[in-house]
Amino acid sequence: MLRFVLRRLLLAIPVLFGIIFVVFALARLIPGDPCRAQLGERATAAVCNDFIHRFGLDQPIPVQFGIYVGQLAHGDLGTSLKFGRPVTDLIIERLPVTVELTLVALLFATVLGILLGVVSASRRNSAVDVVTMFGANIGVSIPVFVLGLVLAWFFAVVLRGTPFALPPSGRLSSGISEIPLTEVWGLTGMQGPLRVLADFVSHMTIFNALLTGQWGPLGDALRHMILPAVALGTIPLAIIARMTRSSLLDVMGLDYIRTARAKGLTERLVVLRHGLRNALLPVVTIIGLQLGGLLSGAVLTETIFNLSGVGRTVTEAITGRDYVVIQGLTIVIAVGYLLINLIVDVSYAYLDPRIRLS
Amino acid sequence: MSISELREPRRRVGTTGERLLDVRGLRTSFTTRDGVVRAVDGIDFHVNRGEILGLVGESGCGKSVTSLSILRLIAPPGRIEAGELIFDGRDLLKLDSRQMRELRGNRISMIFQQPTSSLNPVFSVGRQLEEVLELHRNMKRRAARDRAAELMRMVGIPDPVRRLDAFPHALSGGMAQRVMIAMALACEPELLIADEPTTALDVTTQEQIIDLLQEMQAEFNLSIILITHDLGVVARVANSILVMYAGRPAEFGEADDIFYRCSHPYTRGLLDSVDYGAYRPGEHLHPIAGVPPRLDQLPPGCAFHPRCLYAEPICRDSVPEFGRVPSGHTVAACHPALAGRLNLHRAGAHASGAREL
Amino acid sequence: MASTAPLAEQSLDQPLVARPANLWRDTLRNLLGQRSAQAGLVLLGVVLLMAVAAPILATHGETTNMLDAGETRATGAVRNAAPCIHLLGCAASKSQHILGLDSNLRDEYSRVIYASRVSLEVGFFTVGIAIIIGTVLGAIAGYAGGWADNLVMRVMDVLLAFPALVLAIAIVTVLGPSLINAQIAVAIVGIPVYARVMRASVLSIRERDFVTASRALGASSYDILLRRILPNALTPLIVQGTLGIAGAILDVAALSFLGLGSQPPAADWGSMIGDARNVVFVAPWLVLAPGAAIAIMVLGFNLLGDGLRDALDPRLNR
Repeated sequence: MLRFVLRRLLLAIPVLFGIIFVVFALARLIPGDPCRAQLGERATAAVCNDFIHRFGLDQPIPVQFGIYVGQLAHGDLGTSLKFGRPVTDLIIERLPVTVELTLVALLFATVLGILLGVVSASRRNSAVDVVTMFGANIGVSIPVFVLGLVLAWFFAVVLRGTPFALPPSGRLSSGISEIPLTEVWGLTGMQGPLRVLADFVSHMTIFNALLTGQWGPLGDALRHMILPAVALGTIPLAIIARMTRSSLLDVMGLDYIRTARAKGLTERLVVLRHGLRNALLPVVTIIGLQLGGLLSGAVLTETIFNLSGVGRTVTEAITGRDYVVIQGLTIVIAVGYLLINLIVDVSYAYLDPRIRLS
Repeated sequence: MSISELREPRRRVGTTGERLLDVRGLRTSFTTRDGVVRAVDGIDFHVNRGEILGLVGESGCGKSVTSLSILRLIAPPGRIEAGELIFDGRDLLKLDSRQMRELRGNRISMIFQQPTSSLNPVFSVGRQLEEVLELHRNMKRRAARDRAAELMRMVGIPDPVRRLDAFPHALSGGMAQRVMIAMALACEPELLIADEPTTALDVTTQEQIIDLLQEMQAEFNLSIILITHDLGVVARVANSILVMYAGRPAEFGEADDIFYRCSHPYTRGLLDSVDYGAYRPGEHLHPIAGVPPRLDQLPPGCAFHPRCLYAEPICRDSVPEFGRVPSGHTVAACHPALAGRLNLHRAGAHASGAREL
Repeated sequence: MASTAPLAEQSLDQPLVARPANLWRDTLRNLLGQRSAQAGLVLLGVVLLMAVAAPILATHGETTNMLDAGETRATGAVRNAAPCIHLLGCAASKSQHILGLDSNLRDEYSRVIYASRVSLEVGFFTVGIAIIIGTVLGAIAGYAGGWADNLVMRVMDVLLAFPALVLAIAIVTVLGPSLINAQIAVAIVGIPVYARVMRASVLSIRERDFVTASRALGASSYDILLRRILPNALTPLIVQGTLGIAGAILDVAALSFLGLGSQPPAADWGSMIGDARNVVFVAPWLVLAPGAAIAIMVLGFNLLGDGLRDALDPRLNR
């Protein structure tokens, strides 16, 4: 198992350098003067010369790449033109929003998707099955931004005044605020990586409220999360439901399922213990593949629901031609995606003894 | 530790020879796109306590469907249409699903043709053994694990405690079948259905598994339905034999009656296609000329008549009744009068060493 | 992305048997007999009809401002005007606009109709580019093997390591926002899928007897590739391509939604939704109409792709 993890880590290293190289190359490909591209059009010649020299832009390309990797290794992603702040700071502040949104959407898609898939498979060709599979076909075909806008309109406008109305933007209602867990737990004096982690978590409204027991804000944060999570999670939900269904149907025809039945297990246990565990192996792979889509969709969802995560920051940076931010965020998202895929691989191996023990 | 020491006291002490399972008029059908196919069409036989019934026939003749029907494991689109399955005085077809589940793996167990794929790949073999003990014996995890190790030792698996944590993919076919047998015997069943338990194994392992089954049968006073197309094995171990053809019974009786006084041309053909008298491992059946018919395209009358050397016009018109013949066993009575000729012929064939049928 | 390898390669490495010509007819019959393919073809037929007959179906010009077309505030020419259909009781004094007007006083219905052309073109062009480049790269990798294979496939791994839209956004920022650049970006992001399909096909077929035989008969590598391998790789390429069109349309629409694709005043479903984003609470039809149009088109390609996979996959024709 350990060897498997190590091998996966080793394999990820060249990909990591590939990612960095692609982002680096894209930045160098931006037409025009790199100095003015990064510092803005009004930068003077003197400032530019200084800039070019300082960042080694007059050096040969391989050297420049080395400098860039060095900066990254120190956690330096450059300084945003628009915000005038280090990109790293922006990320610590905004990445938690994206992580939280993606996690909630993934949770929604996985739990409901597996549930619907299991029900569909065990009642094959029933009304539930037909409706679910029809819905799944529609679900994968609606663009995230369309679904997001329609949900926002329906729950905020059409259902306004009913108990089912939901807020269409932001993370907390005005007038409601949360005390960050760093304050609640008296960590304000703390420094170092743990403090960064604490800050990171306290920027996630739901987890912050959950960890510190602020139940009022928690309910409000959850209500704000429903629409974005549903908008973002619908495509993966549909794909996971379809995959679970077909995978479970395949597995239920296998010999060991007959053995489980011959043992005298209830059909429920046969499906849930012997069928589902095996059927979930390909589903785990599919979930891993959905993460790229989730991160892509997060860009759109955050824009629609006014959530200031990295996705929305990217779109803001596009309008402000803030290339440093785009570069930095692209790297962070891609590296995060790489890490998640590693975790998916490892959990796949954990679930399948044939891989774990080989 | 000997096997008898491992055994707990039996719940029910059966008398050897007492009738354990009586199958009457079993009919199982499958609904397909082209209509209803009767995979098993009116089978009668019985199994006595402590005896081995050999169930023989070519592939696709309904042997496996018969065995799955006994456990009521026929899944849609299949369905048991008619019949009685009297097990220890109760009709299995009249039990509710909970009562039926209590029997499965407990009083009636089953092992299969493909041992490796019959074990769940994501659970250790120990876990799969414990599961059945926890289910039917209400054992706690710890006790179930100890018992699982005992069972593994009993079926001849070396180093059983360590093997408990092994996963099925790490076992050879023979080892996997031993695990399956341990699992099937875990609750000391009265009836074990072995559906071609050796077909997927190599020849030496085949012998070992058959020996193991015989040993277990003697120790546990177990009844076994041994499904096979290997007449050699049947000749060696079976007390009684049911011959099936195209979903119907051809002949049923004591092993000796079948081997020396058979009354059905199909049985005759099977017997002549293997030199059972001097069984050699690995020798395959050389079936009668032609192939078995598809179950959805059965010929009219006796399904065997197109391949039968003794076919007469009447064979095309009427389905033979299953009834007793003078020697005391039951047979599809197409040619009861032939019996003498069939066995004479056999003797002649033997003498000349020819395989004319 | 390394993690997809076990499943993807498993399914792609399945041998694909060369089919005699009459099997193509069987395949077509299989396809037409399938409910999902039938539904997909019907939906795509609708979209195709929209695109071809746009000038007939549209009631107004694609970019015509209604004030320029002679309407006035009195006849209902106001920004984001609600749909006005005379048959459904809209006052006769108002001019008829089935889906209302957008914020630039253009007829929404006509724009939805015209925009079908853009989306069809986007789907085929983007996937076409991706397939051509991907197929060439995959063929090189599979055929040459060794370092060339390694190089190409590692580059593909890197491309797959980015979430698709994020990489497309990064590429468009470099190229500059425009519909063509958005398509190029999405095409680049799509290359690895086809490269993998092609490479797997080449590998599974390269060592087959008939290729060895062709080589013994003196056929050149180029000949073998063109006449033997490519026809065999066609099946998975067609299936992936059809499903890929659906994805490409979604991604380019997303870029247009963000303002990185189609530029005003051209009619495009993605950018129309982007424009209507801030008025969705007062004029939801401006999102619903183009949104439904995208969904129908994407659904059509998805259903057709599923149908093709089932019809072409020999493993499923049991």
